[in-house]
Amino acid sequence: MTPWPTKHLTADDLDAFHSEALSSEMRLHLETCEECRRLVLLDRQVLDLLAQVPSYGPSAAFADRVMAGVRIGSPAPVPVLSFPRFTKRRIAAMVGLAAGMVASVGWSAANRPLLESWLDGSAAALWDWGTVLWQNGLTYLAAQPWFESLRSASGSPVRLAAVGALTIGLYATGLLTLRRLVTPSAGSVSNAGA
Amino acid sequence: MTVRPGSLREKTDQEVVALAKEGSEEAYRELIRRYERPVFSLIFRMVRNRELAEDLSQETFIKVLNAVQTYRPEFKFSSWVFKIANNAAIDHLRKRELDTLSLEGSPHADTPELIEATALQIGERGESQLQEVENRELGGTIEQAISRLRPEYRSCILLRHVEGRTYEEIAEILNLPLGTVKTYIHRARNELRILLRDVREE
Repeated sequence: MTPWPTKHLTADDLDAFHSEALSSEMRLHLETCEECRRLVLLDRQVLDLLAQVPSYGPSAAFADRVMAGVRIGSPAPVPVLSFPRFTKRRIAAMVGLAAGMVASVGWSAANRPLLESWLDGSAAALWDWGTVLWQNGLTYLAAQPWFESLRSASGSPVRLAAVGALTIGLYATGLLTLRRLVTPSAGSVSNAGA
Repeated sequence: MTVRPGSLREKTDQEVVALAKEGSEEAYRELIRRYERPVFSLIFRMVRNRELAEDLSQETFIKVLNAVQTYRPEFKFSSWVFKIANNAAIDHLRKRELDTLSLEGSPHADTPELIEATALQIGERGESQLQEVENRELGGTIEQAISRLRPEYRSCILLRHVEGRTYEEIAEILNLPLGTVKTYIHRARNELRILLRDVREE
């Protein structure tokens, strides 16, 4: 003879009972367990009461009040390739731009030696300024009190390699930190605006 | 764009939303007509004040309808509406710091001491005259019992057994794991059984 199960009904069993899908094992148990029968009865009463609670409606003008606050949108824009409309102002701007470009090319072609002398002069001046800045910068660094100790510390190739590795490590750590700071969190968004 | 209101009644939510996206005012009104009662009922039972429930429902619909262009049809429209409605009600309750205590203690309480400290003692919670009036307005012992549940349990039980949503939908609406939703609903039913038995015995 099979002994009757003594395990009481779980929450899932209660759901199964209400949807008439209770297992035969638990149905057998229900026949003998006064406590579970009482639980099922009370739970049924609660569900019946919940099913009877009325639905409430807002006041009559509710829809109008909502509509007063709603912006009825135009259809969502369809991403298609399209040319902008040619208005008089746009045409004038385009013609002006084209005329300016043609005039610029024409003037450059007509005054090539003058243009070249300007460019050469500017490049030479920039080179001179750059060299002076670089030399002054190096002189300033060499005059610093810590410069000599830094030079002696990185005097051997091993030390130089260690300093280089340390610098690269610091730079990579900085980059990773910055990336973490600027990356937005990737939380799931189940729907717009919700 | 004009659509006959009668012809909208047979359409699914997704179809009505598609028409609303095209700018049909009738489609907007149809969405309000479909959900004004369930949304209002849910919020009313959460905040237990008609005027406030009306304001929060209005806020919910304005939010939903103004964002309808960004609605993603892979999700149920009803879940989206209820999610925003529930958030509006819960936000309000949090602002009011109205925290209903549970018969079984807080679901987050780990130790027996914490469970006891956060548990509700029947009859201890003195109701103000205003709350009594609100309870009378809602009417019935079951309404009173629902109003005594903590807000998380109340949302779950109302969505499951009054609005008839599935466990999965409720999990999506409330942003909770499915297991938590089931636990909340069964705890809420357990509390309701106890509350109703006590009310009957009084």
